[in-house]
Amino acid sequence: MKNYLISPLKNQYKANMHSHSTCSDGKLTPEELKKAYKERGYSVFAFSDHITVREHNDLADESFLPLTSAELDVAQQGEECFNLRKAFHFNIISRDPEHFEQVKCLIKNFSLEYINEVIADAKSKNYFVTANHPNWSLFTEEDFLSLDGLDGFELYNCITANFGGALSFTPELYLYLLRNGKRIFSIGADDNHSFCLPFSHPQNDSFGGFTYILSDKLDYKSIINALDNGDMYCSMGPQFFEAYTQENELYIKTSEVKQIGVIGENGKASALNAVCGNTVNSFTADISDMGKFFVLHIVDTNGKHAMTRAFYKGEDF
Amino acid sequence: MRKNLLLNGDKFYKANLNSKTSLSSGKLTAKQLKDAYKAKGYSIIAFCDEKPSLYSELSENDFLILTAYRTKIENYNFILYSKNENSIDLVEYNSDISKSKEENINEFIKKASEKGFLVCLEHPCKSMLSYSEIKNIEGLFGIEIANYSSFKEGYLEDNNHIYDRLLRRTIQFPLPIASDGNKNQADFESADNDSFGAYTYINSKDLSYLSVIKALQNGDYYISTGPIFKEIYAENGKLHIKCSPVRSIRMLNEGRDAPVAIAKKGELITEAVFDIDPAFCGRIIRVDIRDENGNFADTVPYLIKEL
Repeated sequence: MKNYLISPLKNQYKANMHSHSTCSDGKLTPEELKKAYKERGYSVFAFSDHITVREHNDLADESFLPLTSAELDVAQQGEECFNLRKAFHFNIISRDPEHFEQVKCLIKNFSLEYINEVIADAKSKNYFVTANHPNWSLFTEEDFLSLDGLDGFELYNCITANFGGALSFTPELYLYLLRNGKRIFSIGADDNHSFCLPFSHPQNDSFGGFTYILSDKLDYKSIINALDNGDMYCSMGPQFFEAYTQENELYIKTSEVKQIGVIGENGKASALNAVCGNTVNSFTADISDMGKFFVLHIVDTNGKHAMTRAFYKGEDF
Repeated sequence: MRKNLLLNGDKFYKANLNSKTSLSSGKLTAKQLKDAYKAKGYSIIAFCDEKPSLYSELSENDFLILTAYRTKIENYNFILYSKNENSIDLVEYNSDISKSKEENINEFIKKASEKGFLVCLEHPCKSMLSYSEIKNIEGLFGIEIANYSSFKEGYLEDNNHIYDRLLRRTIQFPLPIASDGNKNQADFESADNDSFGAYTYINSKDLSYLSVIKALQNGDYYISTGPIFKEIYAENGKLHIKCSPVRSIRMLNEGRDAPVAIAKKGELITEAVFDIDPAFCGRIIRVDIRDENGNFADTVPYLIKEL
């Protein structure tokens, strides 16, 4: 019997799960963002402006779904330049597009205990909570391990790479948290502010990191349901088309890439590599010895990655 | 005043600092590996088997064998490079149950260093070592930022993030290393072949054993999985970088943001100039370049106060 991890029967809706508009410090209006992203094939868009949760339900149409959300942040205080101090930013996405409560978060109240309090408050108010740009936060593995209740983890964040200059893709941190018992889903996002750079500028922060959400329908309830079930994955470019297990084998079908890999909870890995200059698009792997879970990973010839959440033995396959 | 950070009038020698022979998990003999790497333009190789042997008879005027061996302690794998070409006196690991794992390993590294070895941590990603398991390891000469064999096996062995976290924490930081870790179980033509993908360019005055070891100890080198640095120098508070065509040039530092130059779509860049601001960068800067295929090269860290 096939256990589908990524079903080819479901639609893959391209989503930007983190953005800023003129409602906070972004340069473009919500309408301009909708137009630009819709033109490039996006269907789901989290307007996560700072501090205040806002709904943009008037922008919804049959092929575009705005998510009611906000970005909250706390920052370590001190004399040092901000570049050297820890800060933690997290998105809260309302499970109800219209009825929501604000979540209070004081930026100067920097402590792991306080962050946990705010996350707990957000969850009690029916929000999906994601850790944003983990590497940018300057948090260590231990810092993240002490945070509870996170639903999503930005494996890639475009602005911190293109504008901030950081190496933003952080699979090692994600795997560390999974191996230490955290159940967190993988997210890719732009965190676009647009600032003073046009879309054509090499340091523009749009269209570089995204989440593919697997859902039958593009309505708010279905998309939130998909997020809650972990039916999504992070990408910077390549795409998973299908993945299923059958007994001890895993079958994966992808876009054209240079490597398709599976990494297990126990440190075992398996990969199919393309001959230099060529690509591959399907892989059958033995998953009899991957430990409690495995994640799927692909990288294309431009060095762009996509990575799934953890699929758990006894639950997902 | 201009300070050159790479290529002080000397030469770069291409090195594979971790290669397995048929004495351990490798398929090819030391002689076969030497011939293959020499034919690909390498000048230096280190054979890193668990059962060490001396290979100085394979060294030539234009090719150097570094004396080394590999050992596994708990879930840590180490490569030990001997400072003495003709000596490879194995270092014993003693597990004292009254001490923590890290303390025992630190004792081992201390003993190895006293015996004349440079100790490098091998493929931390494949070994499932996190930052928290590495941060208290003392006395390391190096840490593998890239290991091509691990890449090929499906591990995401780009350890730049863990390395940056170490740099933020430590004063006596280890240096970055890139190597193949090749076993050559697949032929050179195969997609799964693990040779010629991650290397270290050593800036040494000559190819003598002592000069190369000295260059490694001094951090006179850079690591790469593809792109090439051509020139890096500091002058009047700015860092100047010239390199092979790449998609991005970053000046990584202790902070979250890094000055970056990114090529326009469809184009590549070969140089960048960044301000060196200690208030923004902290104590350390290093340079990372990435080409259009995602291959990268990284310098060692430079202390800003010494620039």
